Amino acid sequence: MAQEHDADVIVIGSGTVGSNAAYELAKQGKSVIILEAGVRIPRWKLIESFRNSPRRTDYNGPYPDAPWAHTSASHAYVENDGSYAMVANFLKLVGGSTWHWGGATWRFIPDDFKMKSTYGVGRDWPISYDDLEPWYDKAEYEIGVAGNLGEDQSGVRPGRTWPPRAREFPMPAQKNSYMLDTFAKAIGPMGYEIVAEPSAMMSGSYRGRPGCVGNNNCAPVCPIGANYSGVFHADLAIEAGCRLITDATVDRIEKGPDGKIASVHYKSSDGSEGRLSARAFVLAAHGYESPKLMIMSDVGNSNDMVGRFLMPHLGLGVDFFAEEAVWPGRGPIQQGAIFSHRDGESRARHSGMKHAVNNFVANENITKRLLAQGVLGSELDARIRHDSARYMSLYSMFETLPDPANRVQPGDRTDALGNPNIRLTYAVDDYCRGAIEPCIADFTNFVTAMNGETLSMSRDLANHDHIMGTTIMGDDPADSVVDKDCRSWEHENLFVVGTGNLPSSSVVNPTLTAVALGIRAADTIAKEV
Amino acid sequence: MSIGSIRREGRDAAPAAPAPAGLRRRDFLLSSALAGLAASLPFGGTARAAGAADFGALSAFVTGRSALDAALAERAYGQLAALDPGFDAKLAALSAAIAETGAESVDAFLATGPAPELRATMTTITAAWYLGYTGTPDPSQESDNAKLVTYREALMWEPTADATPIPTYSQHRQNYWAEPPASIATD
Repeated sequence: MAQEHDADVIVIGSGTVGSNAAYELAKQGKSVIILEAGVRIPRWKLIESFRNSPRRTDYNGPYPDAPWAHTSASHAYVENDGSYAMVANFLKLVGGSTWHWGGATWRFIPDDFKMKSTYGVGRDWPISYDDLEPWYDKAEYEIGVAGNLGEDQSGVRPGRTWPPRAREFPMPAQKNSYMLDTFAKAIGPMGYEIVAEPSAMMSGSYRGRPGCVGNNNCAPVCPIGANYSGVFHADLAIEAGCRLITDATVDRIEKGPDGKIASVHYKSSDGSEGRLSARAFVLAAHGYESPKLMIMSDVGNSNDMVGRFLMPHLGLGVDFFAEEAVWPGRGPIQQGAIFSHRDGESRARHSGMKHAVNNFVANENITKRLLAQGVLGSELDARIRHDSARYMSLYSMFETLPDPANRVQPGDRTDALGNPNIRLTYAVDDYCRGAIEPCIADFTNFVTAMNGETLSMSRDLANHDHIMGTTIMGDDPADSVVDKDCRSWEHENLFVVGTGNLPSSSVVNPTLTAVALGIRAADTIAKEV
Repeated sequence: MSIGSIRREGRDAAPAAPAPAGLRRRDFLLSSALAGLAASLPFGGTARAAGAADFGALSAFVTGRSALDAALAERAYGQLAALDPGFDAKLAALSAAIAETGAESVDAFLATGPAPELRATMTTITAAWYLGYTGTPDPSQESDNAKLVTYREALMWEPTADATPIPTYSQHRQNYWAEPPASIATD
């Protein structure tokens, strides 16, 4: 007798990756339930929250941190017991953490997929760039990516489109800001090239989203939805027939007698509970929460690999006053990147890196600085204008290597639902530290090129909001969590998707790669259920 | 106009008087409150509403504005007084010092070389109006003592209003950022 199920597929998490997977499954005729720990919040309320908070630089500021659905805003919930404090900002609401991102939608480059065989460090992926290229393409056209052909994103293949691609970007790149063009002209003679950042901030209208008009608030929340977030695909998934259940925190993934996953159990803030069964399950709950839930449920972890290999992007920052006015803050908050150390032989010795130019309206930062200096009276207005026009800041992102000692696991504290907190353990290695001096050398050149006055140039590594490796993909069941299709080695109907799959971190934002893998996994599932 | 040249009667008379054309009522209240400033020294002991009005008048002088929003003045004053039990006394000391010099503008007062503690009070007042909050936001912590005064009306936006947006507000066309502001030659 055929077994009854609540749905063909249950997707845990309504963020960018989960929603894209759900949408793909629904388009292929599958019945899908999406479980989301958070609730839905309309964009206008988030904008009002932002405008009514003095914590304007807090990317979590406008978003709820509920006792039953904590975010990284809770220090009790995100706990560090390693030598380096890891906090990657994450949210819980319909659409997930891409509500507060810069829209950077880079592909990895072919060498990122074979770090071990090319550079003798890290791990190789179980798939190649060529395997993923069609799925990158699909992901880009789903979410909308604006970029330029003819640019080398590796830094060592001038004049070539790299990584190679089968067709154009869905949209042309946005125009560079005056500041970015001015900076590009200044650093060009030193051998640096700025390439356009492929971006989900649209250069024109795309799938119902408006083109960016430069309100300069891509994060913490784009006021007009020109910047993509997972909520667009959550809505597309619902339109395609998916059922979304919010305020539903999955606390247990339950195994059946046949070794397959049979059901998931969830709790809501009102005390109610539920259990839902399906033919297949997609765990897309975030790079911290997905492995935590697997460990809590004793699922897919008999090799003790779940939650290990935590890879962040670490990096440095510099800010300075350019000699001439460049006017940061006009347009979106970020645009271009410099890949002086992304690929090439140095990568065998130290992390590759990406440099990027911030483009925030500088007034608050500048005004605080001037007030601290005691500037008052009419001089204050004059100096705000003068300094805000000249303020420049850049940041770098270093790749990190997968080390099993760096990990996420359930902690001993509990939230309002009785679920454990997130415990992180991370230590910086010499491979990463080796990138500090080359990075500082580049920063020094950048300041010099602008005849700048340095304000700060720290050697202290900061972490960026990217999490990789925690549900790592591999070709050996002994040292990975999922196979090349994002399928759990132990449970054939459990697929774990998200940036946690990535066996290398590269130097670029991982979201697009995770979306490509997520859609690819959904396509695999659709053939089986 | 000098703060010291205005008479106290204005504050009490203002609410009943018809507002002059073109002047919003709350601005009128504020300019009337300015009248009270000199005569009501020292600050301490005034009622909360009067304190806010006096704070608004002093703020207008310190920030070099002809008038400031009375509702925002009340909000900022309440928050600053809550942060610092000695705030009224500091305002009174600053008001007295300004009156004593007879300075007609903030720049003129600064030119008299006010004491560091007076400059500190001026900075506290200026920060509330320019940044649009009181206290110190610290996103590295779960919470802090910062409270909003205003976002859109924060004075820090004014000096660059022609060149950069107030983030979240749509003020320009697509791709405006490809060109510098019209003022670039003189910036």
